[in-house]
Amino acid sequence: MAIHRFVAARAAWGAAIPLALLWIALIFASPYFLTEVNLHNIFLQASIIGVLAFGSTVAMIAGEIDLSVGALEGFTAVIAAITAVQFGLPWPLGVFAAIACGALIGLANGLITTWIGVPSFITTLATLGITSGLALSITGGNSIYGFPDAYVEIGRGRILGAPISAIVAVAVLIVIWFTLRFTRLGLRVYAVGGNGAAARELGINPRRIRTVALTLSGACAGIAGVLVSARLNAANGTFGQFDLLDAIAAVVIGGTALTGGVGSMIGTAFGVLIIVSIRNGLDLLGVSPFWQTAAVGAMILVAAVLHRLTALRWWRR
Amino acid sequence: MIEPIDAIAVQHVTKRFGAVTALRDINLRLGKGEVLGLIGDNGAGKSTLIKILTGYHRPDSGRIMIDGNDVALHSVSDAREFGIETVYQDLALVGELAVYENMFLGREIVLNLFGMIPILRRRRMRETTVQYLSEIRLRVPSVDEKVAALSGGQRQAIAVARSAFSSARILLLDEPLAAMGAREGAVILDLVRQLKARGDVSIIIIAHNYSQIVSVCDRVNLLQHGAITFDKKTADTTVEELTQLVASEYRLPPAAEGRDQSV
Repeated sequence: MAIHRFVAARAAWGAAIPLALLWIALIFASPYFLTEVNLHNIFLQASIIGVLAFGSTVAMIAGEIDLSVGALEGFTAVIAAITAVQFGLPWPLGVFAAIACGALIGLANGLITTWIGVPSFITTLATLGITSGLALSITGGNSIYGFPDAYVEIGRGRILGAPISAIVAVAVLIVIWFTLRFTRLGLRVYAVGGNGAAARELGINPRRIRTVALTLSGACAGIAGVLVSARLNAANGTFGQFDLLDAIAAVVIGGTALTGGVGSMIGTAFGVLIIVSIRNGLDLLGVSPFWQTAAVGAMILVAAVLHRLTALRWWRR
Repeated sequence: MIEPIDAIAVQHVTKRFGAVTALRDINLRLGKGEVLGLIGDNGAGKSTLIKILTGYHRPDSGRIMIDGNDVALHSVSDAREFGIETVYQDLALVGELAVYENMFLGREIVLNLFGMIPILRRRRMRETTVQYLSEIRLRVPSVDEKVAALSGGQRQAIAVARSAFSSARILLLDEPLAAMGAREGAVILDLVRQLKARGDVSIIIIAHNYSQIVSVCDRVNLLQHGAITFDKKTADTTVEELTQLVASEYRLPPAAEGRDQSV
């Protein structure tokens, strides 16, 4: 086995050990942790954070960062509610509107970033502000309730015992994993993120690849918007406020490099479970959500520092 | 007497930048399958000449012929159309990708799933790389190794091999041996010898190390103050002669033009 395959595999599965340790600790710390209701909650929450994080992983491998995913989640939830509740259109149109809207805003992020040359950090920060402000003003800061039952099923229903949300998230995971691993687009995403100038010299259009990555990230935020509004049977501009933090934490803990060119979906999936389990565990232990957010922030820092240290050791050899 | 057609023939090429003449009435030929060493002091015009051949600069006068046909190289992609590939020092490699992935980057072998989704044929790309590298006797730890884990010489060699592996018929190597130890440099020189033995590519190497030039090139041209002042087969010259030629420059009165303009 080539050394780098081993290292890559270790990076992807590296988050599995902390996850296992975390779960063992939580099992001992709280008798409720392993109950079916609690595990169900973990998977529902992980589905939403997961879909966001999976899209963000692609953007980050391509060398971009998408800060708008959390705000887009709330915005697209509102779009779905307007379509399916206020306009009373069939619920699949609500789903479509949310995802299409997310993809379009992601496309705008991509075009502004690559064609005008505004760093994605700034472009997506601006879209974060615009979409969350827009979502709040459309709804007047209130929630829209009363989705059709079939729509709510997406968030609460089960097929063969598995939550539909989780099935959706796993499907997104598999599609993106397949794309990154087996398609030409996937290879080029890594190439562009790893060395954009080299990719260009070899006839690859980095702008196109980066735009596709940010569009995908936006579409994933739209899917998250559907999942969260279906689960809560409501839409509100504030939805997803803290999910950006959790999604980025999951991506970074999963071993994706902030500088681009390195990362894996398996790693992100473990990262998602770690973040969601920590929040859940701290909930069970009665720790306030404020401290949970601080904990997630600290974990981003710890993970990034660890990456940096391993990277340094790797280069010294 | 009928001469075989040259891969490249540069005739009476002159290039000025403002008042400075960077190249003056250059005549240079590169035979098919030949390896030509281009030497000269910094600022002699080597880079300008290479940039004209890669379509980056356009000559003010003179003509460039490829395979006996007059060509106008307006851009880097024009030059590529004519099979001219340049390996610059930045190498255009993606460190985090495997050797075989780098070999095929930008022209991956794919299978279209449902006629629209290009799926990588990794095994085929991998095996083709293994076979090609063994044909040109370029040894790397593994084609699965990521390029960042290779030595500088191996990386350079991979970049050269990739250009030769593409449809390139003319390779321009811009100081491939710069900042490289003897052992690393030997990897490149071996590769050049292998490519020469295959005979399907003609090569111009810019270098400073004359013993390496003599060991691998068929012919050497010396560029001084924007003009070619020396053209000999390596069999007819020695490292000492080349060293003296370049050193002699410093005993001449300073030239009025063409100096210090390596644009």
